[in-house]
Amino acid sequence: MIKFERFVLKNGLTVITHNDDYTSIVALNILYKVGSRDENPEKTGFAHLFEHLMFEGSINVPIYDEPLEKAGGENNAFTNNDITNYYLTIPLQNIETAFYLESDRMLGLNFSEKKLEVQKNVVSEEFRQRYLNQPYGDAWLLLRPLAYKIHPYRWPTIGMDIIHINSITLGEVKQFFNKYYNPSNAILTITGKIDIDKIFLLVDKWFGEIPKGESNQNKYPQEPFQTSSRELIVKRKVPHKMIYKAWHMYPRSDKRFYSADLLSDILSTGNSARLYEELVKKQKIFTKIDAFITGEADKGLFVISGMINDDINFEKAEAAIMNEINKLCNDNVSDRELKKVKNRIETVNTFMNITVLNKAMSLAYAEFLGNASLVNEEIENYFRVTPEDIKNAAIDIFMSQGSNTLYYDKI
Amino acid sequence: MSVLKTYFNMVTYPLRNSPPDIQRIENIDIIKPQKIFLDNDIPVYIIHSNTEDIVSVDFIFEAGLWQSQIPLVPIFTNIILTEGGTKKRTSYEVSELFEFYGANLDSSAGKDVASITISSLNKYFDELAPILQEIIFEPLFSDSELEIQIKKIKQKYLVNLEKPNYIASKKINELILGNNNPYGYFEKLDDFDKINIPILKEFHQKFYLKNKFAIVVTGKITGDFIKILNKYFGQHTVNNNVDITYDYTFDTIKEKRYLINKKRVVQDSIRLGKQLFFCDKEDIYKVKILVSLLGGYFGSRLMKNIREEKGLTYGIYSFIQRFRYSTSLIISAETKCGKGVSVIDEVYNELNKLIKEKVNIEEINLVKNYLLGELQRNFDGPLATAEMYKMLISSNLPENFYDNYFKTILNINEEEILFLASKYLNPALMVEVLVTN
Repeated sequence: MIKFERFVLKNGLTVITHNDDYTSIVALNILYKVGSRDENPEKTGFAHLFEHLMFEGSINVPIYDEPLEKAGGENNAFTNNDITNYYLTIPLQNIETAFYLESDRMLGLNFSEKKLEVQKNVVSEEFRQRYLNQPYGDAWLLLRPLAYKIHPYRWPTIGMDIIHINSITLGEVKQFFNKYYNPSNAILTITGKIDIDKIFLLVDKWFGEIPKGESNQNKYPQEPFQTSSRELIVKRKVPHKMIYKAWHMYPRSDKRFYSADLLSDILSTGNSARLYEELVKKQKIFTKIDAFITGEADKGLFVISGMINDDINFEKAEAAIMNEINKLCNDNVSDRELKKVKNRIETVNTFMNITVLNKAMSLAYAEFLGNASLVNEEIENYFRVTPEDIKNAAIDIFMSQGSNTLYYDKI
Repeated sequence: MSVLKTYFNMVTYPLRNSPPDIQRIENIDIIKPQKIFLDNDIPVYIIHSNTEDIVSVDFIFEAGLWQSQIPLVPIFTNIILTEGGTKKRTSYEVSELFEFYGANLDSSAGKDVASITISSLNKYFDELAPILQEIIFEPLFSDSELEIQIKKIKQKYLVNLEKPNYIASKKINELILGNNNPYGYFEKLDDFDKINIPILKEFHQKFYLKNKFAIVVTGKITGDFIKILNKYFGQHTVNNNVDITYDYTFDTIKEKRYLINKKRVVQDSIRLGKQLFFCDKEDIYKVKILVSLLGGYFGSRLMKNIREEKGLTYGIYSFIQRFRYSTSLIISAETKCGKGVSVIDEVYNELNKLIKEKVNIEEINLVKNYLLGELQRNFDGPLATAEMYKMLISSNLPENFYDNYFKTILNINEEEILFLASKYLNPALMVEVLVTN
C-alpha cells in the first residue's frame, strides 16, 4: 500500500507526494501528457527528440545535468506512445536543486539552433543503434504499420524514419513546447523522506508562478475493428527465422486489460508457461517464444513472437501457436494455473514498489490513467480475474478479429 | 554557426537568479551486513530490512568461467541446475512450483563466480527452500535437457555474432587479455560440441557440492528464516575453497588496431582498452574517479565532446572492468557510420588533455559530488545494498572497500588526478577494435 497526498496548484499542476522514511534519497518524477501519438504523421519521432532537447538548456540553466550532478543527483527520461516522463533521484539535503531545475525547464527552454542539430544527430544514432544495427531490430518498425492503419500507434516512438527527425525545425519545437509543456499538462510526484508541508512550500515557490496552460485535449483516430488478417514477409541477414503475430486488445482503463495481461503470462511468463513447455521443450518448434501486451493507454497489441528452429517452416510454426491459442479459447484454465500467474504479479508488484523512484513513477502513471490510487488497486484487479474471463478474453482477442503476422525470414 | 537565442516563455523570477545552495554529502550510511555462519561454516551475509515482506537470497558459488579450462562448462552447469530438473522432479515441475509461489529464480555464470538467486514474498520461503536445496544438490543431469539448452544458447550466440557491439566487446577483451584465459577467451561455435553430461557433473561435484559457497540474504530476516537456511544448506560438509592454480596467461596482443569488416552495419563500433596494473593498492579507488571524469557520467569529458558537441554517438563510456585476477580500462561507443576512426582520435585527445592539463577544481568538485551521490544511491535500500556486497564477494574485495572509496572521493585532488592520468591513461598502450562497414 502506497500512501500518498495529492494536491493541485492554481496553475493546474497536479502534485503527488509519498513519504518513505527508510531512505536518504528523494525521487522526483514529472510526467507530461504528450507522447508519439500526438505527433504529426509527417514528423514522427518528434516527442522523443523533444525529450532530448529538454536537457539542452532552460531560461536560467544552460546545461541541465551540471547543477544536478553537482548536487549528487542523477536523472533520465523516456518517451512512449502516450507520455514523456522525466525522473531524477537526489540526496535529500539537495532536494531544492531538483525543484529549481525541473521548474526552470517547465518555465521555458533556451538553446541554440546548433544544439538542435546536434541532438538530431544523437537521436539518429540512437535510431541506428537500437533499430537498425542489430538483428531483428526493425521488427517494430514493420509490425506497427501492419497492425495499425489509422491510429498514431502505427509509428514507433523513435519515429518512422530518420528523415522525419531531420526535418524538424526550431519553430516547430517552440510550438510543441508551448502546447504541451505547461503545469496543466503535467503530473509531479515526489517520494522519499519528506515533510509534506515543506514540500508544499517548495512546490509553490518553484512551480507556483509558472503560467497556466492547456492540458492535452487531443482526440486520436481510433483503429477500426480489424475484419481480415494481414501478412508481411521480409528477408534479412539474420541467423534464424522469426515470426511475430499481433492482435488488437483492450485499452489500459478497460477491466479486461487485466485478463489479457494474465493471458500473456499463462502463455509465456516463466519456464512452466504453456508456450515454452509445449513448443520449445516438447515439440522443439521454437527456441525462444514470448507472449506479451504492449499496454498503451488506447488499444494496444497482444503479441506473440518466436524464434523458429531451423528445420521448421513458418507454416508449421504458426499452426503450433494457433493450436495453443485454440486450447485457451476452448477450455478454462485451471485454478492453479491462474493462481500461479496472479501470485507472480503480486511478487513483481511488491518488489517494484520498494524503491522511491519506482513508486514516484507508478504514482504518476496511475494519475495519468485517471487516478493515483490505481497503484493500490492493481493487485486486486488482477486477483479478480476468473478462468471464464481468461477464456472470454482469448476468444475476443484471437478469434473474433483478424491478426497481423510478420514473417521475418533469413536470406 | 551563430547562436540564435530563442526564448519560449519570457518570464523570469528574481529567485531564479541564484540557484539553491548545494550541500556536500559528508556522510553516507554504508550499511554493513551482519555475518553469521551456518553449521557447516557457510557464511551468510544478512542485510536487514523492515519495509516490505520480501526476501531475496543469493547463493554465490566459486563456479565462474575462471574455474574451468573447458569453455562454456560453467555456463551450462549453472543453467542445467535451474532449468534441467532434479532427481525427484522434472524440469517443468520445478519451474511450476517456483512460479506457483510467485518466486523469481535467476541464475548466471560470470567470469569469477556463478550465482543462483531467488526473490519471493517472505510468506512462501519455507515452501521454496527445499526445492532450492534440490536444484543445487540433486540436479538431474539429463541429455535431453542439455540438448535443449545447448540449442537455445547456441542460437543466442549466433544472434549475438550479428551484433557489432557484441563482437567489439568480446574482441577487445581478447586483445587486451589474450586468448589463453577465461577472461579474454572468445567462444567459438565448436566449443558447444565439447559439452557433455560427464564434464558438467564433474564441475558440479567440485564447485557446487564440495566447495564452500556464500549466501547473501536481504528482507525481513527472522530467526526462523535462519533456521530454515541452516536446515537445508548448513548440514552438508564443505571444503574450504581450494585455490586451484591454472595454466593461464594474460598477453595483450601487439597489434594496435584490430579492424573487423562487417557488411550492412550502419554504425561503427569502437572499443579501446588496456590492462591496468596497480602499483599502489590505493590506486584502484583513485582510478575509478579518474575514469568517471573521463567517461563515467552524462557530463563526462567524452560525453560532452563526442555526444553533446559533435553528435557523433548516442553514448560513449569509459569504465573499469574488474575481475579477480585482472583489471582493465575500457572505452566504448557506437558511432556514426565512418566516424569510428575520428572518434578514436578524439578519445586520444581527451586522454592527452588529462595527462597534460590539471583538471580545474570546479570539475573535480562536480565529479566528486556526482560520485558521492551515486554511492549513496548504491546503498539506498536493502536490495541495492545486497547487490553491492554480492559484487565484493564476487571480486574478492575487502569488506571496507566502499568506505575506502568514499574517503578517497572526499580527499582526492587535482595533482593526484594528473599523476594518475599519466600513469594509467597513456594512449600508446591502448589497443583498439573497430567494427565497420
